[in-house]
Amino acid sequence: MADAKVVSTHEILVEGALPADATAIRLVRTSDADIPLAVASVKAADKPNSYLVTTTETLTRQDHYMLTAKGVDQPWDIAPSPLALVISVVIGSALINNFVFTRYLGLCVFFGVSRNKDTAIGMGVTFTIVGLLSGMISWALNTFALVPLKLEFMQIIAFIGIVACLVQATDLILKKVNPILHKKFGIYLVLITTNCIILAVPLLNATSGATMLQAFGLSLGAGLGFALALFLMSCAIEKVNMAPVPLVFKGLPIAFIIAGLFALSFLGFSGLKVA
Amino acid sequence: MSTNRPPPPVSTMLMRGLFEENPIFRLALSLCPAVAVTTSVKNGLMLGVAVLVVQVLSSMSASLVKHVINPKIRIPVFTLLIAIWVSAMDMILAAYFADIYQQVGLYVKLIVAFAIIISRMELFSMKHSVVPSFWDGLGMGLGFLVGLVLAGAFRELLGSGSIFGIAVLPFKPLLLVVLPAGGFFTIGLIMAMFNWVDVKRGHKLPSGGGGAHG
Amino acid sequence: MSGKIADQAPPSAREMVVISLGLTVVCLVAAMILGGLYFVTQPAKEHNLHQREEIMIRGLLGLSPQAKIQEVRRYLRSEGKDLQVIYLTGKKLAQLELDGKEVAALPVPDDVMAASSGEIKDEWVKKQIKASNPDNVKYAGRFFVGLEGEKPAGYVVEGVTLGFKNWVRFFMAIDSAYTIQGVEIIEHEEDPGLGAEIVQRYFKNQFAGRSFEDIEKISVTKDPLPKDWQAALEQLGDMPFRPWLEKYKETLPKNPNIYAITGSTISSTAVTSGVKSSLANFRKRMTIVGNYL
Repeated sequence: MADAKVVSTHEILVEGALPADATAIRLVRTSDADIPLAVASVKAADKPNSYLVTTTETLTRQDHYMLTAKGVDQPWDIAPSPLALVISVVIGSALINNFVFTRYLGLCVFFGVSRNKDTAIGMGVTFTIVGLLSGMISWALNTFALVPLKLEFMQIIAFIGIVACLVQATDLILKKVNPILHKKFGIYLVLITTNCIILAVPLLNATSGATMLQAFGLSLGAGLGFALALFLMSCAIEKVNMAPVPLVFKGLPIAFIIAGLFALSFLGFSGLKVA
Repeated sequence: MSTNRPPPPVSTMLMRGLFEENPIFRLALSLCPAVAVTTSVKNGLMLGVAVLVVQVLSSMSASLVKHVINPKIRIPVFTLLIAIWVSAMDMILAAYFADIYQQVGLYVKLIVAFAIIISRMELFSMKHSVVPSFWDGLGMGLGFLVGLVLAGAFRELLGSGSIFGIAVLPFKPLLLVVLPAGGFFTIGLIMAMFNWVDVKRGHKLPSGGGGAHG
Repeated sequence: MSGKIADQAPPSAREMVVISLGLTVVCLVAAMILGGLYFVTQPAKEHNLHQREEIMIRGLLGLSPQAKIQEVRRYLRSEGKDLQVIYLTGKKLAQLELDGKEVAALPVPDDVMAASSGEIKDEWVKKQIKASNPDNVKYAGRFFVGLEGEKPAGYVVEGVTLGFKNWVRFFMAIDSAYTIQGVEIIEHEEDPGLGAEIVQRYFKNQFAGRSFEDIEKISVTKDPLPKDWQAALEQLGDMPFRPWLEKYKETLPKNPNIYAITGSTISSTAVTSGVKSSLANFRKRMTIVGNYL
C-alpha cells in the first residue's frame, strides 16, 4: 500500500497516482468513515509521484484517516507510524502516567525494595523483563482465546495464573542457567507476584482493547517507569536515612512523604505530548 | 500437616486488625489502593467493603481446604481461591453498583495481588479452624476499611470540601490533596500519627522502616 | 513465603501428576462457579445500564411518561474500498451508499426492535446484510429519538471523546433545530475533584441552549466562572429546559464560551471538542437517515 501522511494541520502528502480532480477524492476519519471531509484541492507535490491534498478540516497526526480516489483500487491508510505510536505509549506509561507516582500501583513492593540503590536496580530490571513477558503472553491469551470464546470473566484468574507460572518458570530457568544471577535476583522474582502492576498491565491492555504494539508499549513503559521510580526513591531514601528524622516519622512515614514529593514533580509530565 | 491452635479471643482479633496490626498503617501491606482510591469517602468505602468481603471469604475457604491441599501447592491454590472471590465480587459490583464501580473497578480486580489477604491465609487460616478465621479476616478487613475511609475522609474534606459527595465547605481548600502526591502525604501523616499514639502508650516503634513487607 | 517452597525437595513424578490434577480440578470448579455467576449478573448489569440510560434520556429531553424512546444504531459495511452505511431504526433496516442512495430497506421484526441488548440487534443485522465476511459489518455508533405519539420530540446522540485519563462517553440532547438541550456524562475515569467535575451541573450545563452556529465557534476559556452564571447553571435540572432557557436568555449570550474546570483544562477541552464533532457529524448524518425515522 502506498504511503500517505499528515504533514500539516490541513495537508496530507500522498504517494502514488491521484486524479487532479478534488471531487474524485474521498477523505474520511476512520472512526467516522461515513462522513467525508471537505477536500479543497489536489496539487502535485515537490517529491516525484506525490500529491498534496488540502482540506478545510483540521487534521491531527494522531488520528486515523482513509483516502480513496475514483479509478484507484487501493485506499490509502493514514495513521501515525507504528514506531511513533510505541514510543508515545512507552513514554506515556513510564513518565506521564507513571505506574507508581501517578497511578499508585506497585507500592507494596516499592517501599520494601527501595531501601538501597542495588536492590532497587535489581528489582527494576527483573520486573521490567518479567512484566514485558507476562504482558505480551497475557495479551496473546486474551486476544486469541478469552475474547473470541467470550470468557472475559476469567481474565483475573488467567492473568494471575500466567504471572505465577512465568515467575516460577523464570526462577527455575535462572537457577539452572545462571546460578550467580539467580542468587542476585532470585528473591525479587517472588515479590513480583504480589506486585499490583504486574496484574494491572494485562488488565489495562484488555479493557482498552490494545493492539499488540500498544500492549508492548504499555508493558515496557510500566516496567521502565517502575524501575525509574525505584531508583529515584532509593537515592533519596539512602540520603534521608542518614539525616535526623523525627521519631514518629522514621521509616515508612517519611518514605511516603518523599514519594509524595516525587509524585508532585512527576505531575510536571502531565501535559507532555509526543508528537 | 497443620493442627488447629486455640484461637485468641474474638475481641483481640478484631482490635488487632484495627490498630496494632492495621494492614495499611502498620503492616504497610496492600498500599496501592490506600493511595489510589481514597480520593473520596465513597470510593474508599466501596473498595474497603469489597476487600473486607474477599478477605473474610478467602480466610474462611483457606481454613476449610487446608487439610485437603498438598502444602507444596498451597500458594497457587490460595491465589486461585482469592481470584475466584475477586472475580465474583467484580461481577456483582459491576452489575449492581455501576457508577462507583467505574472509579474503583481496576482496584477491585487488583485485590487478587494484595499481599494482605494471602499473608493472612498463610499466617492464620492454615493454623486455625473456620470460625476464628472468619473473625481474623473480619478484623483485618475492618482495619483496612477504616483505614480507607479515614484517609478518604481526610482527602475529600481537604481537597473537595465535601464528605460522601455532600458539600460541607463552600470551597475547595487544598486541591493538591486529591492528587496522587496528596495521597502519599496523607498516608505518611496518618502513619506518623499511629506511631505517635504508640509512643504515647509506651510501645516500641517498628521504625527504621521495619514495617514494610512484600 | 514462597522462599520456603523453593527450599523443599522437588516433587516426584507421581506427586506432580496428583498436584497437576488437583490444580486442574480446582480451576475447572472455579471456571464453573464464575461462569454461573456471570450468567446471572450479566443480564442484571445490562438491565441496570439500560435503565440508567433511559432515565438520562427522558430527563434530557423532558419527555412525558407516555413518550417512547427509539434507538437508532449505525453500522458500516466495508468491502475492499467500498463503504456502505447501515441504519437500524424503529421502522427499517436501511442499507445505503454514502451519498444516501438506497441499496436495500428491510422491515424490522418486533422482537429485535424491543431487544434491550445492543448485541442481539448487531447479530440480527449481520445476518441480514450479505457480506463476504460478517466482520465486515461493524457497529459504528447510535443515537436515540424521543417520540411523543409518533412525532420526534428531540434526539439524544451518544458521543465519545478522549479525556485526560481514558475515554469519556456522553449523551447530548438536541432538538430538531440542532440546538443543544443538555449534556450528560455517562462514563469516565477522570480524577475526583478535577476531571470528574465534568459531571457537575456547573460544567455540563454550559452547553445547554447553544445553537448549532454557537457550538461551531465555541472555545474553552480559563477565565473564572461568573457567580451569577453558575447560579443559573445549577438550576437546569430542577427546571425543565425550555423554561430555563426562557429565564436566562439574556445571560446566555454574555457567556459565549465554555469556562474550564479549575485544574482540568484537558478534560474540559475534551468534552467541548467531543460535543462539537458529535453535533456536526449528527447534522450531516440526519440528512441521510432522517428519511427512515
